[in-house]
Amino acid sequence: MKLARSSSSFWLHLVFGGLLILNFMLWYQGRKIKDPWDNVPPSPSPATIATFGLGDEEISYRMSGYFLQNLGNVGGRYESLKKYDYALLEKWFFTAGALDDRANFIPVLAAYYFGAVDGEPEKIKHVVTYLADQGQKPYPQKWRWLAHAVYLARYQEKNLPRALELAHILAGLKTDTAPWARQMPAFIQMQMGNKEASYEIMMHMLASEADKLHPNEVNFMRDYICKRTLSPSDAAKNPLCQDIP
Amino acid sequence: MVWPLFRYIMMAALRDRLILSIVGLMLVVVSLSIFFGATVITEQDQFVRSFAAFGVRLFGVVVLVLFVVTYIRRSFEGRDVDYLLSRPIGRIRFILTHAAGFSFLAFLAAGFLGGVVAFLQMHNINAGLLSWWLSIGLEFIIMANVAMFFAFVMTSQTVCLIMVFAFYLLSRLIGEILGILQKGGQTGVMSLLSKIMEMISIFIPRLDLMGQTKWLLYGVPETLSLPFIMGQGIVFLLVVIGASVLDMHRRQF
Repeated sequence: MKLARSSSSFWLHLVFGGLLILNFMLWYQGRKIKDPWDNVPPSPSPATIATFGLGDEEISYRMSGYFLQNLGNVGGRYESLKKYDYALLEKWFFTAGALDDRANFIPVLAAYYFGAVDGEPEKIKHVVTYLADQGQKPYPQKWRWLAHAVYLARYQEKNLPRALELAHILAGLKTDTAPWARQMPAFIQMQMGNKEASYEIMMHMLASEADKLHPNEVNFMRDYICKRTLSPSDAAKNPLCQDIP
Repeated sequence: MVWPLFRYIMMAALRDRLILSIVGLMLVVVSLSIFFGATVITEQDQFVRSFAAFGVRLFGVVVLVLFVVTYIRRSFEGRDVDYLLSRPIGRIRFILTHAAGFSFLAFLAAGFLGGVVAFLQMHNINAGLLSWWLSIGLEFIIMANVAMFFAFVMTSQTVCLIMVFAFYLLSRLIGEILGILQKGGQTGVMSLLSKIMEMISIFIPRLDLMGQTKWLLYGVPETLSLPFIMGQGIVFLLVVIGASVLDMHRRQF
C-alpha cells in the first residue's frame, strides 16, 4: 500500500515537473511574439462610443482621446505616423469629438500630434478637414483651430486653393479673431502670386479697422503693403507708403 | 426594535470593512486618475477630474451592491432573518429599516467618494459639481435599494449579483437605447422587440442622465432639468422599496 502510494506520488511529481518544463518552453517560445498592429480600427458610431463610458459622454470623449493618443505606442511598440490610416483617424476625430464640442483634447491631438507627420499631404488633408470644422464651433478661441488648418493646408498639404478657402472662412468669422487671422487671405493670395488681391484685402482691412488696431499692427500692414504687394515704383507713388517708421 | 436593527446593519458594514474598502477605493481611484492624467498630452486637469468622477461612481456602486447582496444572502442562510423577524418588529418595518440603513451607507459612500472629486476640483467649486454630487448620492441610494430588492427576491447570490449589475448597465445605457428606438426604422421582429424594450424601460431609472462628468467641467446644461432627473430617481426609489415591502409581505417563511 505504502509502496503503491510512493510510486503514484513519484509519477505525479514527474508529470507535474514535465508540465512545468513544457510551460517554460512555451513561455520561452512565446515571450517575443507580439500581436500584429492592426492600424487604426474603424470608428464606431457616436452612440457606440458613448457606451464605452457606460453612457457618460465626457469620460467616453476623454478615453477615446487617450486611445487615439496611444494607438500605435503600446506594449513597447512605436509605429510611425506615416503608417497610420488617416482617413479612419478623421472619422475617429469626428465621432469622438462630437461627444464634447468645447474641449480641446482631440483638436490638440489632431493638430500637434497627428498633424506633425511630414511630407504626407494626402494624410494631412484629413487633419485639415477636422480642424476646419472645429474652428467654426461657437466657443471662445476655437477659431485658432481654423487658423491651424489654414497653416497645415498651406505648408503641409501644399494646397493653396484650400488654404485660401479656409482663410476666407476664418476672416469672415463673427468671433473675436486676432488681426493676423483676418490677414491670412492676403498672405495666401500673395503666395499664389495674386499681389493685387493681397493688396486689396490689406487695404480693405486698414480702411475698415485701422482705428481699432494696435499701432504696431497698422505699421506692419503698411510695411507689408508697401514692401510686399507693391513694386518699388508703385510704392513710391502711394501716399500710404510715405514716412513708414 | 427599529434602532437596534439599524445599528446591527451599521455594525455589519463595519465588520465587512465597507468603510475601509471605500477609503481604499478612494486612494486607488485618485492615484490612477493622477497617473493617467499625467500621461495625456493636454487638458490633464480635466482628464483627472473626469476619470476620478467616473471611477468613484462606478466602483462606489460595485462596493455598495456587493455589501448589500452578500449581507442579505448571509442573513438568510444564517437564519438571522428568521431570528430578527421573531422579535417585535413587523415585516414592513423590517424592510424599511433595511432600506434606511442601506440608504444611509450609500449616502456616506457618496459623501466620501464625491468629496474626493470635490477635493480635486477645489479651485473650481461650482453648481455643476454640487449637482453631480447630489445625483450620484441618489444613484448610490437607488442601487443599494435595488440590490436589497434582488437579494430578498433571489436565492442565489451569484445570479443576484449578475442581475443587479445587468440592471445597472441597462440603467446607464437606457438613454442610448431609447434614442435608437425612438429613431424608428425597425420592421418585423425588430419592431416587436423595440416595443418590448420600450415597455421594459418603464421600470428602468434614467441613471444615464445623472452624475454626468461633463457637469464638473461645464456645469449642468440649461436644457436638462435637474429637479426632473432627481424626481424620477426618487419615484423609482420609492417603487423599489415598495416592491421589496410587497415581496416581504407575501413571503412564506
